[in-house]
Amino acid sequence: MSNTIELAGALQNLPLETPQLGVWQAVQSQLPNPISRWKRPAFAMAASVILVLLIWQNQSVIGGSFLPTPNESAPKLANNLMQQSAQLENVFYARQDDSISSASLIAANLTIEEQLSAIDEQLNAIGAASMNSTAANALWQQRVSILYQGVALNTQNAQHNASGQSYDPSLAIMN
Amino acid sequence: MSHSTHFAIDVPNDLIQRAKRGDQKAFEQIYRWFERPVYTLALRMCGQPSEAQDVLQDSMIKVMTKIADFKGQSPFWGWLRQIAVNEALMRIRQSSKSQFESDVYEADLPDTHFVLPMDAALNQQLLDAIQQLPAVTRSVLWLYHVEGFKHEEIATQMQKTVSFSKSQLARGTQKLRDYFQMPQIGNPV
Repeated sequence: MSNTIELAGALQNLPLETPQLGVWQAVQSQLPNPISRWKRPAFAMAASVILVLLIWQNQSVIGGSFLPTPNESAPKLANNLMQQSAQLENVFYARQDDSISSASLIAANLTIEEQLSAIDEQLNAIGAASMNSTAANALWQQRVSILYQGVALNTQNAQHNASGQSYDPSLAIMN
Repeated sequence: MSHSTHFAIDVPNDLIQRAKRGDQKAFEQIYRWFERPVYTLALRMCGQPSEAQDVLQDSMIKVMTKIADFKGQSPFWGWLRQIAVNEALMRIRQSSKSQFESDVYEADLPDTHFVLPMDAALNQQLLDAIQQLPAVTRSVLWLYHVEGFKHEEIATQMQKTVSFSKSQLARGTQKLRDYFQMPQIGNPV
């Protein structure tokens, strides 16, 4: 027989199935609570203030190098922003190291994650069909911008620690 | 034995660490990656979408609540898959008790080498054929051929003997051969 396939191969070739109902919400309701320190309102608010100041400070230094070029078409821009966002997100999480981070840096990282989560919810609401729209691009741009700050924060922290110094974002903005 | 499993997804260590710290976005990412592999495994083993849905949910909750126990000595996907296999087998054990108890050993096992004609309808025919197998037989077939487990591993997971696993595989193969009306050819287990 020329056109045959082994049983194992035929079984392996069967397509993946998709559940009719996603169970993520049910799973999510059973998840363990995040670490309680994240939830302290005063701490979170302080972290937000520090983050806003750092973004303002860093943007003037960085000069918006992550911003899109003016004449990019909307689909191309969306694609570029999504790629940048994915790359920066990997670096952002890879650079985080709680063992060498001050409390305010940990809180700032949490605030960044919360901001990313809020943006993701808005992107989900926009939906895949409108993923190239101006509104979606603005959100992706915002996401890239926040991640860029997160990477900068954690990179500075790692550099300070490598040279034997401690790094505290709340002190860094004073300098 | 070479095999390809849909579970073989390389999960970055930092994502696992975030999930261990209770980061819900990390959990969701892991869930999204493994939703379909877990559901497919459960559906193939249990046979019913509602049962597969339950296995998916219970497996994922277990993964999320036990993730601190994952030590990273083996791939994360293998650890997660084992949880899903155990959950599916637990359900089959509850619903197909008689199959688990009928531990019949066959001294002269038929061969398990089997080729199928390649055509456009093969996938649907194969799905129909395996759906007609008893859940235990179908599970052994799937774990052996698709997930790449050895008879010893399947026997351990099912708390049965290696002979049980081999005989289930042989029976399942024979039934599929009958379904497709294919002649028996060489290469025993």
